[in-house]
Amino acid sequence: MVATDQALIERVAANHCRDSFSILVARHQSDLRYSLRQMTGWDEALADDLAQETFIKAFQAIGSYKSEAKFSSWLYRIAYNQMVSHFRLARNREVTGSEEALTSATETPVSGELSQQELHQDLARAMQQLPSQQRMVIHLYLHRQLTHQEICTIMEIPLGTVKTCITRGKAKLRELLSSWQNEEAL
Amino acid sequence: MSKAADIDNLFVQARNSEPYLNDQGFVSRVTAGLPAERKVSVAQETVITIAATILGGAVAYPFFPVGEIIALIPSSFTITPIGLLAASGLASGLFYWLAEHAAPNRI
Repeated sequence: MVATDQALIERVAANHCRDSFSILVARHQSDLRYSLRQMTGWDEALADDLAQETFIKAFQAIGSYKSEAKFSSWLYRIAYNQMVSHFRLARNREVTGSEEALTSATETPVSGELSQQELHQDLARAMQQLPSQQRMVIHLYLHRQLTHQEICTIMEIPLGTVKTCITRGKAKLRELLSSWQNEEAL
Repeated sequence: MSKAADIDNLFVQARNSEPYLNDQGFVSRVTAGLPAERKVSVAQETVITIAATILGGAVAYPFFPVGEIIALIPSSFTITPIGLLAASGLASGLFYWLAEHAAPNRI
């Protein structure tokens, strides 16, 4: 019989059971690492470091987890905070990273049929052009298909901000993709 | 990627083709970074600590010179003007320091 997330969380909260937590990590690692790759311009090493820190924070704070929210949503919240802290500490690096990603994005011609891997990486590079908050909102809304309200809860921001982030983020991404298309035409 | 560069469709494609990322030692790295496992629960630890404190107090009480320590407490204090001035100065300095550090971003 497979233990539910809630049962495993209760075991971890009761006596810091590492085996139960390992099962939770194994269950959620792929989704979280993929999301963080999307958030970091497909920087695999950085995304994995952030994911690792996220799980460790989750383990330490498991007592504060409330079962009304999905465990994955709670993880996204921690991951977002980790990402914001990381970029705040290395703000110059983020600016450089964005510039590199912009160069890469505009110099990479997009052929008619992208391989799946290229699709994910190019999308991540385009997302890198957006501010951290907008990037996370767009990812949670368009990729993870969370509702506006769920995003509000995860990111602790007002509903209006979520909607604005989505509108502006989509417009910016549309603009970026448009420039790729122009290059393709040349 | 479609010519229309439709953002929603692009995300649909990405979602449908999201790869499963193999563990590749990730779970082991996370587990290795976790704090040590508790041998007893928080509740058990609290009960043990309280019980040990009560037992220790009970054992030490007959040997503890309670009367002598109470006798050391002075029955009255005398504050000289200089002492009062020094105490006022210290208190002012402490309040100033607390006010400065309580609201560092206040203009």
